[in-house]
This record gives sequence, C-alpha cells and structure tokens, in this order.
Amino acid sequence: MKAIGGTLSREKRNLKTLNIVFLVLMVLNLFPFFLVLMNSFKSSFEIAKSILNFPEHIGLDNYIKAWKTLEFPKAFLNTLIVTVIGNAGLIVFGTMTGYWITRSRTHLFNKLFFWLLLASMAVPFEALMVPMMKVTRVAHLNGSLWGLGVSYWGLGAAMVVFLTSGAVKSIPYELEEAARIDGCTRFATFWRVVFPLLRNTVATFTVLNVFWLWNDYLMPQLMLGRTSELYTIQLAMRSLFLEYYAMWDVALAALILSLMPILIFFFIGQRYMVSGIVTGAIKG
Amino acid sequence: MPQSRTAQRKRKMLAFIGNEALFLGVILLCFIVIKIIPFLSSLIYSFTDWNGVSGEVTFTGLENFKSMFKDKQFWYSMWFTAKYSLATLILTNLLGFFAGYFLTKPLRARNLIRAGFYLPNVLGGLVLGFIWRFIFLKIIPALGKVTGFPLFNLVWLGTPETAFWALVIVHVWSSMGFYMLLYVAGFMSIPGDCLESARIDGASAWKSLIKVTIPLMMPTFTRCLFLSITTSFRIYNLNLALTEGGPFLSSEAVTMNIYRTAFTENRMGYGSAKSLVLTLIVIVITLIQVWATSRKEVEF
Repeated sequence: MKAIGGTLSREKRNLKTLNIVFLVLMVLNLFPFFLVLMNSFKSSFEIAKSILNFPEHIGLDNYIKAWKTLEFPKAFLNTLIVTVIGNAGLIVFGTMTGYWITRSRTHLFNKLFFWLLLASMAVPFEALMVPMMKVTRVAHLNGSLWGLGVSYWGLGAAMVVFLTSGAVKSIPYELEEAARIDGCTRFATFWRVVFPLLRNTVATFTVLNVFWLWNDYLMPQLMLGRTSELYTIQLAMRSLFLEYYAMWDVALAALILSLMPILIFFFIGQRYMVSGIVTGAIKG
Repeated sequence: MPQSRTAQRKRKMLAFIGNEALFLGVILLCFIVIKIIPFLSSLIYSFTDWNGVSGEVTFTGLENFKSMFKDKQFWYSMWFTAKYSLATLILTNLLGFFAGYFLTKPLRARNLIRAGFYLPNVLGGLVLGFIWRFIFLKIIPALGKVTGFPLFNLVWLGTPETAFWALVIVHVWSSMGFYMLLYVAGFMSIPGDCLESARIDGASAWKSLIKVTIPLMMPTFTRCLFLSITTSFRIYNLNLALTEGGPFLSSEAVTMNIYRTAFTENRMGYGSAKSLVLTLIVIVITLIQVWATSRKEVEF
C-alpha cells in the first residue's frame, strides 16, 4: 500500500515537472512572435538602436502606414472572398462527390474516378502549375477572385472526397433506406440525413482548408499577380516587402496586421482543429 | 410484362445518370480542368520548346531532357532539396514524436501546450519567411553583440551552408506542431491493454516504448514520413521569402528553379520537363518509403 502510494506521488511529481518544462518550451517556441510584436511599435531608428529592449512608447504610426500600403481592407476582402468561395464549393460539391462515389462504388466509372483522385494527390502542384495557367486562362478563370476560388475546388477535391468517403462508410445504410422509403430523392436524402452526420469531418477539413486558402501564395500569384486590384493579403505582403526592403518598422507592423485574422481564427477554431487533426489522422 | 420491365430499367438507368451528373458533375469538371488536362498537357509540353506566350510550338523530342542532364543548377537544386527534405524529415519527426509522447500524458496544461506548439503551423510560408528574415538579419546579430555566443555571430542568410540550416530551422519550427498532433493521435490509437500487459511483464517505460509502442505506431510513421517528404520537396513560399534562393542561387530549391525556368526565363516546355522529372522522383521516393515502413506494420 505504502509502495503504491509512493510511486503514485512520484509519478505526480514527475508530471508536474514535465508540465512546467513543456510550458517553458512552449513560451520559448512562441518567442519569435513576441520579438516581432515588440519591435513593430518602434521607429526604424529605435529598432536599429535597441532591438532587444521594450519600445519607449507604444505608437501606432507603423500600423497606420502598413494599413495604407497594404490597402488592408481591400486585401482582406479579396482574401475573404477567395477563401469563402473555395471552401463553400469544397463543402457542398466535395461532400456530394465523396458521398456518391462511396455509395455507388460498384460502377466502374466511379471506381476509376476515385482512384484518379487518390493518385492525383501524389502529383505535386508545382508539376501542374505551368500548363494549368494556360488551361485556366482559356477557361477565363485567371484575373478573377471567383476564378481563383473555383480553381481550389479542383485542387482541394481529392482530400475532401477522401475524408468524406471514410466518414460515409461509417454511416449505417439503413438510415438512408428509411428516408428513401419515405419518398426522399437521393439528393434530399443526402442533405437531410447524411450531411448532418458528416459535421465533424466537414469541420475538420474546412478548418484545414481555410488556413490553406488564406495563406496560399503561389496560386494567387499565378492567377491574380498581374492585377494589383485583386491582391490577396499574401500578395500585398510580398509587394510591401519588395517596396520597403530593409525598412523593418512598417514591415513588422504589416506582418502583425496580416497575422491578425488568422490568429483570431486559430483561437476560435483551436479546439476543433487540434481534435480534428487528431481524429482525422486516426480515421484517415 | 417484359416491355414494362425494360422501360423500368431504362428509367432507373436515366435516374442513375441524372444522379451521377448531380452529385459528381461540378467536382468532376473542376478536376478535369485543373488537374487532368494540365497533367496531360504537361506531358506533351515537355517534348516541345514552347515559351508560354506565343502560339508557336515545335516538337523537339527528347531535347529538353537532354539539356536537363547538362543543367548543373537544376541538379544542384534537386540535391539541395533532397538534403533539405532529409534534414527536416529527421528533425520534425523526432521532435514531433517525443513532444507527442509526453503530451499524451495527463499534464495539467496539455491542451494549451499542444495549441502553443501547433500555432506556428498556421502561418503561411511567406509570412513565416518574413518573420524569420527579421530574426536572422536583425535579432541574431544583436544577440551576438550582447552575448558573444559564436552561433549568433554567424551571418545566417549570407553563406550557403548557414542559409540551408536557416531554412531547415524555420521549417522545423513551423511544422513540428503538426507532426506532434499526428503522433498524439498515433499514441492514442494504441490499445491500453497492450501497454498494460507489457507493464505487468515488467517492461520499463523505455522498453515498452521501443518494443510495444513503436511497432504498433508504424502506420503513423508511414503517414508522417509520407507527408513530410511530399511537403518538403515542394518548398517554395518559405524559400522565396527567406532567402530568395540566395546567396548566388545556392539555396534555390527545385520548385523555385522550375518557376524561374518556366515563368521568368519563359521556357515553359523545359519547365514542364523539369517538373515531370521532379514528380517522378517524388513518386519513386515516396513509394520506396511507404513500401519500407508499411512492411513493418503489425496487426493488433
């Protein structure tokens, strides 16, 4: 009894130490953010003079300049439009495809389509980007936010279909049969019965896709790079960095600004994301 | 009534085709436009001298592949990317594995710590590169002046050797948290009774990690290594923002090389040929890796 009590308390103490060690490691890990934030309030002169000290006063001059140079509201809106269009399509059409392809697997065409989707995940984007730009130009997708959003439907389809298919397999078919006997069409059955049960899967891939689309640089650069009116946050950041080369005051404020939306989304979706990746990884 | 039966079958068939179009139509169309057609045309372009702008396309046979063999910068960047992939693979998976191991234990602040480690992963490659450019160019020299620590006195982005490690450090910093979560999932998927019976048999924590946990986690290793290889071979944003391939193209990863060939030098045909070779190399490497690690997977 005593021995068990002893190991238990030792284990507890170990866990406590481990907890503290990892908290310290985490803070160190996040230190770069802090350094950027701290220096984003300083003037160029102050950054050069005392980069490791706290700012002498908290001024928003850099932020105002960065806001104007990035044309932040416009860039934000553009990024938002692309992210929403891309994700809406992937949620609506991607789950429909994933469902149908799983439920009518026996048809040769669907089987072939599923395997093509899977195989396409092995081909890196970079291998396709050269001719893709020719195809999208012919299809009039280039130079428009809508076109970029729709292009993500093709790029993100494989992952969404793959995850949806796994989730659909775990839904008992009897549920759908009951709805069918009540006179629902396949389409209505999917939306009324199946889709609500896919909630967790949808949340998982959507959180991941939001980050992907929001942060993507290469696709917007290729498709919107010629029209500065349509710049996303990432494109605006790149052009700001080219313009303000080595002028860190404005650049750091711009970095913090561009991080804001994604950090807010992270804190809202954090629990979903962490558990989503964990469960997604077990199922996938 | 045979006639009505055929009519019924016909109606069923029509309904099926209708549903096929309804459920698959949009994604099928997008997939064909965005992936299938570009893939097939990249096959074709790689045998031409197309410059990406003009309508003039002449078939040059294997000319692109022949000049690729002599293209020193291309093979340099391929080798650079391979080394980079290996270094990031080892470091992210090692750190992710051990962080995942400890963060499956019942720590009080476990969720907070997991989220904190994962946070750098939500930054885009471009922003990531800019943040670290500031750290390497400004903070580290300042720290070097204050502390005199030799690692801080290196010109991190200025020499080929250190630029390589700078890229690796930033990549590991940003993606370690993601692999940590995958390993957490792996640890959680191991049935408790396996570990329990190992403990009853008197295995130490270290021994049961080596003999029980790791063999049972092979599917997770398969997945993590696969993801790690495919993502690190495709590095572009970070490369662009942190080093821009410099100094003197010494840190030019292969995607940047392809981008430069295709869009800056306007040699689309040649660029397509290069990306085809890259794809084949990545596929061969991942096939070998998946074959090697999944052979070691055990049933439980």
